[in-house]
Amino acid sequence: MFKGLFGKKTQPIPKVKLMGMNERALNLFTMFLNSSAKGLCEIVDDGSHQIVIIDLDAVDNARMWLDVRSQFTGPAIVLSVREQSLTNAFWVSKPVNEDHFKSALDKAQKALSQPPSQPAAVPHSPKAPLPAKTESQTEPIKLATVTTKTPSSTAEKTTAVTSAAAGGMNESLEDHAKTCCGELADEVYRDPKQREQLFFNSSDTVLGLLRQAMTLTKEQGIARIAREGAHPLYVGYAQDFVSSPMHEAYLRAICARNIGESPVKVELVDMDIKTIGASDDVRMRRLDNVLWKTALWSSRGRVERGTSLDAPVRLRAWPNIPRLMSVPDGLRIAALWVTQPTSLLDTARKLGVPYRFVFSFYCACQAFDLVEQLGAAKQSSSIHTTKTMTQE
Amino acid sequence: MAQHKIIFAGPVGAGKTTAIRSLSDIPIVATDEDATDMTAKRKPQTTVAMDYGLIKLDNGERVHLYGTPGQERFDFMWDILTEGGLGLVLMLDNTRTNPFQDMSFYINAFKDFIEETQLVIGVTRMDETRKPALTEYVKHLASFGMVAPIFEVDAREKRDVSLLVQALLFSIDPGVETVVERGSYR
Repeated sequence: MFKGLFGKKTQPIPKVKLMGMNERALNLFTMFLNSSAKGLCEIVDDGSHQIVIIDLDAVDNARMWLDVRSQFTGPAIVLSVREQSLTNAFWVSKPVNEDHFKSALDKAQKALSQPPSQPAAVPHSPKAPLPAKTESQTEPIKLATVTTKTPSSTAEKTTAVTSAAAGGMNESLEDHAKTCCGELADEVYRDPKQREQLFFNSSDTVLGLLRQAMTLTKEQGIARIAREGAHPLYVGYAQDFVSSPMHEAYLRAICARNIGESPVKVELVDMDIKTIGASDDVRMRRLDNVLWKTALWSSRGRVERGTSLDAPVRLRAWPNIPRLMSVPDGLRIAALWVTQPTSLLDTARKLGVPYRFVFSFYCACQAFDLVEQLGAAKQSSSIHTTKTMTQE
Repeated sequence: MAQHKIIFAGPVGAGKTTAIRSLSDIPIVATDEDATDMTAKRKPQTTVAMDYGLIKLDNGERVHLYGTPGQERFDFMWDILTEGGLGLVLMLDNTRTNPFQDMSFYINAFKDFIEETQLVIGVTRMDETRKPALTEYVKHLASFGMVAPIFEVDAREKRDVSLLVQALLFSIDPGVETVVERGSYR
């Protein structure tokens, strides 16, 4: 789990507290800090810690994080398989990579020498967030709410869960929602005059290029998506392969661009997987995950032009949610579309979730050909050019 | 105080006990005994009666997790354990010779229970072999006329198992809001 060796220490040894780990993980991480990362930090459990290291992936740890932030405003290192944007916290992806950990520790140490960061403050009168939105952001503890049978009590409960320490977290949660679902406000979706903003052409985005490459390699081969001077993206659909020297953040950035502005080539190349090698960034190694993220980041709360906003949406099959970037309320949206096909606009209303979550989730599912609109005219062919790749 | 009950089923070694252990807020109650038959080739000990774990929710509610024995010779326990259950978490092992046969077997074995409740499927050990892919599980399930969440999971990862259980619970109730306000649902 924790591999590799560390370089020599260059800064005073900070005191750290380990949180949110089960016995096995705690033993492993302690072993890591006492061997490969020896001398970089000192584990304490007497309240004298300067930095908290917390594993955010366990089910109750979103709650634990809220508790930590209500009592401790110092820097934190958060370990997670998913990218985390939390105030005064530095993310290390799992499995823990020595360089990432050291880099995060360096940043945390620098933060130690700075004044306490403001975002940790809890607002006295938090804006009334949509209950479902808050719930979605604390996904790991959602179990507590989902078993509550009555929707109204669910909302009450969710509010209660977050009221204790919502402040600093709320800001970060909004950041997360922006990351996966854009920033379009609900008013835009409600206003027929602004409807144009709800649509995009996937063929103008990286999503369109990715689909094109997948179609090219449907049977065999590797396609390269490349623009002059930029990192290429290699795709082999039949081989379930994706690789690129680009970092995930770079992919996210180019997803926001209109590719029509700078010509990009998608072509078959005479290369094999071994020659190309795996992506440096571990988050860029699964084709399903890259496609899902690309769809979300290209969508940013919009749907393909031609999509009906009123036709009921039916989910044909569930996406492989544990292995894909989480969309707030994705589980609830999926469950609704399986059990009660519902239009995009009505889905947001019925579930009480921001429209952009629904639209983004739809777009991501559509990239996998998992959704259909009942009674709506067939959409543009580019949508379904790839065969179903639900969870390969 | 509401009490909920979820059943974990699946073949020997699919990760039922591990999944319950990952989720449970209490040390699980297990009935493991040394395996003496072909099961011993897959793991040294096996569940002979049931596993039990418990999730304590913040509002005082409890979710009871029951794991059935994987071996068919203990199938008399299956009906007993499913009594009053909310749904079935079917754990399948992707490294087994024919996981679709396993799926068919358990869907048929729990047919009545599934028809009345809800099913989710967690496929384990996909990191060891990618084939068959989840798409094939989806197709196989569709042959039963069913659509259910099918996720790749690591039974040791609490988040994975939690998402599986959440999917089951949301499938029962997605949480549609019913208060009408200003002409629309809120």
